[in-house]
Amino acid sequence: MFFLKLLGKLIKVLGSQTSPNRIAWGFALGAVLGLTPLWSLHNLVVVVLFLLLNVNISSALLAFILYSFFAWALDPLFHTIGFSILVQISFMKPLWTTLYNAPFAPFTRFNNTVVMGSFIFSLLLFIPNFLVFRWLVIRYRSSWRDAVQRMRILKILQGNSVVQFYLKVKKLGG
Amino acid sequence: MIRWKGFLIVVILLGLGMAFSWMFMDRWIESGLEKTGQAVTGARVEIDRLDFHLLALSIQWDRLQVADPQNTLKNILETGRAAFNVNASALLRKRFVVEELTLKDVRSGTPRAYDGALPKKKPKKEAAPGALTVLKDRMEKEVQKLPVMHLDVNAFKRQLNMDSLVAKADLKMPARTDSVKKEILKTAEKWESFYADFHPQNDLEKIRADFAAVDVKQIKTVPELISVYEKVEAAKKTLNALSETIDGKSREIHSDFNQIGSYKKQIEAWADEDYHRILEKARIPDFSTGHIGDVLFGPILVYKVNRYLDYLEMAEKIIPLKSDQPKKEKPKRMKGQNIKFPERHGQPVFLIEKIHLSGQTGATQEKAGLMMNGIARGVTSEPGIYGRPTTVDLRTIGAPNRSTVFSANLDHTTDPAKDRFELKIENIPLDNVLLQESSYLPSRIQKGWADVSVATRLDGSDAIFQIEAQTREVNFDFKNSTTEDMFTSVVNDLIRQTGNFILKAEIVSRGEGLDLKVSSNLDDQISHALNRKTGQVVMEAQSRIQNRIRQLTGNSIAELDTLFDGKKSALTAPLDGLQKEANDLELGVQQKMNEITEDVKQRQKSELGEKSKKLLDAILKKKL
Repeated sequence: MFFLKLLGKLIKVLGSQTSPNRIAWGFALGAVLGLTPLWSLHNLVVVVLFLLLNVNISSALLAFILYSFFAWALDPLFHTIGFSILVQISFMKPLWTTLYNAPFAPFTRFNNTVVMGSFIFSLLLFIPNFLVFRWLVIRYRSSWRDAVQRMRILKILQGNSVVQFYLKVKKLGG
Repeated sequence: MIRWKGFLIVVILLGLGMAFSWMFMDRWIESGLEKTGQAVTGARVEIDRLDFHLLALSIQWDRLQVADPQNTLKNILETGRAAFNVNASALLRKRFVVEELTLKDVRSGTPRAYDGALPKKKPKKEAAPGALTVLKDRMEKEVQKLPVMHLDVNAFKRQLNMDSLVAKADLKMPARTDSVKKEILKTAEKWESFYADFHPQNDLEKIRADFAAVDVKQIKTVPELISVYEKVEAAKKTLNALSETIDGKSREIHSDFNQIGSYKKQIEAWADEDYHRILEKARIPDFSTGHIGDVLFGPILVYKVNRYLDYLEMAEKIIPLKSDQPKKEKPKRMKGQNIKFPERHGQPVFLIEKIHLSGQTGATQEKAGLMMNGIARGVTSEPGIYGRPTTVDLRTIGAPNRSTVFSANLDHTTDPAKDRFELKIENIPLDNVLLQESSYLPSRIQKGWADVSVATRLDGSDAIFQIEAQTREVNFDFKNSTTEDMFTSVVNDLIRQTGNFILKAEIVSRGEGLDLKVSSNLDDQISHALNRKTGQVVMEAQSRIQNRIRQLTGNSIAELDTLFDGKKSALTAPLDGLQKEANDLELGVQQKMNEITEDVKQRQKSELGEKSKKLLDAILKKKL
């Protein structure tokens, strides 16, 4: 139900006057949250950024859910990337050693292979995510909006008794 | 681009976070410490009323209980109130460092209010067993290998059914004699086939005939002499070649039969092996002194040593062995692998630099036992970073006539790790001590005293345990120890008379081998008593077994001897004869040649033409 609501909100946002940049930045930040282990200190920073920056929360949540599935599937890759960065790239060792001995830095769990691997991976995807999602929003608004509105899946969703019931309950609740 | 309302939300969230932390921090730390402890011990760990002061960074609790994983209704460790400060600068770097900790009222074996077992988890994939696990398994196997000493004489007599014993024992002698027989027949066949193609008699006869015909006196002319000489020389060559072949074959046939004939020397050993095989099936125990200490006290000692190794395994989880460059692991999904980097402040992730320990050896207030105190230093999860071994020194206080000293030095800063332990106890009371691990001793000591000394050295996978115990005025509880078993009854009789025992044990594990040696002052007495009581029965049994083996194998051995002797003499005789014949002929030829030489010399002296002289010289030179 939450996902349907989210999807509805997102479609609404896509059709609204909200700037494509805000939506895309939200998506890109949500991807970082989804790809990296949730209970890490850097994600606290990401959440604070969500709240402080005027980015779209719906697109961020969608990205978070979407990329959480990818993260689970890509975990072995993150481990390999993290292990290479932390252990096999020798010129970076002094940096990691300094961080390992610095105050607070160890709480970020940067020395964990999956945290490091997924964080680097999410950083690499950050700008492409922003650009691609921004392009998609613009494209949606210019060309796809009508086609999407006519899509059977949306009609089915709207005609679905569960969805109807949900919408009624929502109306009753004001 | 800034969401100003967000500031408010962040502030509210931070405030809520801090409030929650303030409210639940104690519980979180308590739960974290309990879970860490449970992961190490494998049993429930409980901390009562933990209190954390954020500003002072101090922690205190009222009670700590660690359940014994082997007996979860008791605690392996229980302490009273404890208070300590956590090093702030280390904590900022995610290191838990405590400089000084005092643990009072430390006790072991205290009863628990409820079971301390943890819910069973799915068994993990078996990792390669550690050195201590291998050592424990090896010791348990060594104990299982110890002979069973139960002996009911009447039952033993009844069970001594020779036919069934022979069937069970799977005697090796028949198979071995069969194999020797096959070997004899195979060798005989080889030589028979050789004789079928080897006929040197004709050649020998011819040579003999040729020589017999030669009469030096009858030779008139020098050319005739030369011709005879050349003929003799050619015959000699043929004879030499034949003689060489005959000698070689003669050596070979004798070697073949000597090799097979060695079975005669082995027959005794084979019979002895079968005899012991039957003895083993008949379960006739070996009552020599060497085994008795192992059998009586080995299981108890191994049980105690293995319990102690369990604790050491637990300690190894807290103080792990040194490891080098991280190896890539295969962690659970989304868990990852934590990589460690060089520590610049010399502070491990977990370190308690000094622990003041005080407590009692008894589990309850009523039976407090000895009061002890001491210091443990350098309890750390990263000995390599800390750079010093973990040490423990404990001794009794307030009991001048009873002394206990325990010292430990766990050096995990090197690879392999070096662990040393020493325990010396004087005048330890043995009231109501249970001895359930021995099948032969009563299960309980009512009262008595003991001095015990234990020294342990562990270097990687090599281990030496040296144990010495001396007991005084020991009274066993014989209530439930009525037995039909002669060994147990002899042991019980002796320990009833003697309250003083001296026990020495050494367990040495090096490489793949393990040596368990236990001796006591009772060994000789038990051995003599058993041999006296069982001597007649055992000797009868042994004699019956020996007779049966003789009866079973005597005929086949006699048959084998006949076959071997027959084949040997039949097959070696022709070659021996030929050898003799060839030797005789050689002598004859030599004689003939000497005659010719003598004749030549004679003819030289007489008047011959120059030409003939030269020819005769040539013959002599050729001969010489």
